[in-house]
Amino acid sequence: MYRDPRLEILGPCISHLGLFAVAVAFTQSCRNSGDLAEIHGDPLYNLGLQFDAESPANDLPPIGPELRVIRDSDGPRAASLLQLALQLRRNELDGAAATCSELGWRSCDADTLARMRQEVLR
Amino acid sequence: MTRRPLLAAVTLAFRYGEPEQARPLLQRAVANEPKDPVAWGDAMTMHLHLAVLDGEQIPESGRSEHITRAGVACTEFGLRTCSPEELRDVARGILRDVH
Repeated sequence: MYRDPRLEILGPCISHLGLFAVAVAFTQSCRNSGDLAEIHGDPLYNLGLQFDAESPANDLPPIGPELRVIRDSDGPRAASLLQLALQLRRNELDGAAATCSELGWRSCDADTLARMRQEVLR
Repeated sequence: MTRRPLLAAVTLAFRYGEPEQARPLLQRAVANEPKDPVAWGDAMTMHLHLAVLDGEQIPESGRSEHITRAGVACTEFGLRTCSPEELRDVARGILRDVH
């Protein structure tokens, strides 16, 4: 039986591409479900990714699940502290003002928020 | 990656809000042993903040758990000014920044 020599090259290439496609799909699925944080074993990992992102990145997992984990384990104020830091970092000052008020802090005015933002940008 | 938002949140609580609100995050931060020199430096910072919360900057407080741990982290980080008195001085500096 004649065997095309090109198949000997194409065969492994196709199977490797198939494996790669499965890996990409798996990783994307994990990211979408928030399992990436489980893989890294720390709910703060995703928060750290968001914290360091130049702008909100659409391909990063949402941080809601991470804040819920923190809220459940460390309490609502701990989660609000992290949320405030992230909001300031991303210049979401309206949200930061609301979070600051939720924390019951004395000063949540625009000038104070601006100083806080400088703090988290260091 | 995981420490940056923690450090930012702790700094905000100490300088602009209620330092005690940062305690759970600080305890989370020091729960695992650091794995690299920078992490030891961050651990030292976290323990010094916990020391402030527990009043360890006062020698007569009789408490020294976090000052002691900060000393270990300080040494691992590679600093030489790691005596309890020097670290209590740093802790007093943190307290001066409290809003």
